[in-house]
Amino acid sequence: MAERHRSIEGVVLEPNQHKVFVKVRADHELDGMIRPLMFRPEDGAAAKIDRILEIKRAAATKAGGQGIRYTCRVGNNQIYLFHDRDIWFIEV
Amino acid sequence: MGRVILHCDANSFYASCELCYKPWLKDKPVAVGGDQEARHGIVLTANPIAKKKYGIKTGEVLWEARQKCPQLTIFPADYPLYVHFSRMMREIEEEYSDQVEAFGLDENWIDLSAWNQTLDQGEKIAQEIRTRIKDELGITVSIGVADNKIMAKLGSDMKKPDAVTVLRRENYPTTAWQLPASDLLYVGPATKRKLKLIGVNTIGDLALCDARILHETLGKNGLMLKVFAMGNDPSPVRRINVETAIKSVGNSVTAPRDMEDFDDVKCVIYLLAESVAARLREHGLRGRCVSLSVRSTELVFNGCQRTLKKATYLTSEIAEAAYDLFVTRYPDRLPLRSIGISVSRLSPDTDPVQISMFDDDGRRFRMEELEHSVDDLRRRFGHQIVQRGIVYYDRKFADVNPKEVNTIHPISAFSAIGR
Repeated sequence: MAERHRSIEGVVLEPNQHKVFVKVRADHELDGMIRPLMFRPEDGAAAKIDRILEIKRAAATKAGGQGIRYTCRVGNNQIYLFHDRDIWFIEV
Repeated sequence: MGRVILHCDANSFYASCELCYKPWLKDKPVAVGGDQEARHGIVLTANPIAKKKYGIKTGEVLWEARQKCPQLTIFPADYPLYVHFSRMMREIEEEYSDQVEAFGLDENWIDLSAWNQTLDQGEKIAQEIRTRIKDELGITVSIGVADNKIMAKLGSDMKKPDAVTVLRRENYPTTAWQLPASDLLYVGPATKRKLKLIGVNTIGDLALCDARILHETLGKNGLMLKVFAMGNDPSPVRRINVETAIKSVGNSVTAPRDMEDFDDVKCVIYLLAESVAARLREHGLRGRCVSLSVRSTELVFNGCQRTLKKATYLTSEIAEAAYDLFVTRYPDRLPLRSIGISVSRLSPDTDPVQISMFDDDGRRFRMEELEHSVDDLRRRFGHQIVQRGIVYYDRKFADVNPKEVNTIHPISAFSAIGR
């Protein structure tokens, strides 16, 4: 439901290069908190999250959408991983 | 010390939620429309570009909107998404006060009086809420700050989008009072016309108008509007988390087709009684007084009521009383457009019940058990899983589930003031 791939009459939706949906492996803590451990795009390699720097609710201004934003360090990169209801995506 | 009340209004709410997911459409005309196939093909919300540049209005038929602006992107309404955003907005607001009253999905009043003393501090908090909603949800809001609900609402309409407006009492003459009277909550087209006849055009005119003249023109609502215009609206921001004491439980429907004979009426009465009884049980209540209201196809409205021997939450007892009322009082009102049933004089269902020497209370008790079981089945498998034989009389009626329709509606401020 989160990212709605709805066809809209007469409108061609531009492909969104900034939004990449990912599979996520995560720990669901006893208090209900979700701690993502690694993620993998549909056609890509898995990336291990080295550290979560910040967790807050935020809008994804570049990719579109919003959700709980995990600011993650993956190797030398900082990545925004979003959890929007039941879907995960990264902003690139 | 005066109150500090914020009115937070999301700008073109439905369209903003859609645009949050499609940021590349932000500077293009966008509208959210009702379902075209189910005959509600109208514009529910349009973004400012569609409104200002192309003159698209809320409520306009979709094909008309397309004619004005062929490149208009129309999204079908996605209510679960809007409810999700509405809930998140409320969560943010509830961090600042436990008194948040919803007025539809996209508007909330927030009462900060409990711990915040001045309008200046209220403004600061309003700015914080505005920025947070923008950062966290990606939609913009306009917030009005005042010492009463009506002026706060007026303020939120003055500067749009993404802005905070403070309305101070000493500045009313140069701000709020300059606005047309129709900007005031509860001044609709009919009231506006009547006000114009007595030379009241702005909110200031209304505030300064003689109370007697207003009373003559509009009755007691006229006096209420004057109170609103003067910024003296005393109605509280309700604490939604405290269950408001329920005085009656009722329900009404306009049937899918007019009810033409006694059987039609009986069928609809049973449907309504089922939903009213289910809601009574849900709230743990029994009621003693059953009221029936009917509206004929000429839209003439009638109502009557009856007190039962015992407080009840049984569908059969409520329906029988209502049907009997109809047969004895309004047999000549057919055909009917709509029927309503409500139950009042409520008491908790934990209250002891006087057992009668003459009635079969054992049967009554078993009926109660039965209805609880039906509630449980419906909760688990959906409303349609168990139905009364009578609703199969006409399948058109059977699809009406009065308990679940109309769940999104603003609470009227009248009831708070009228008391």
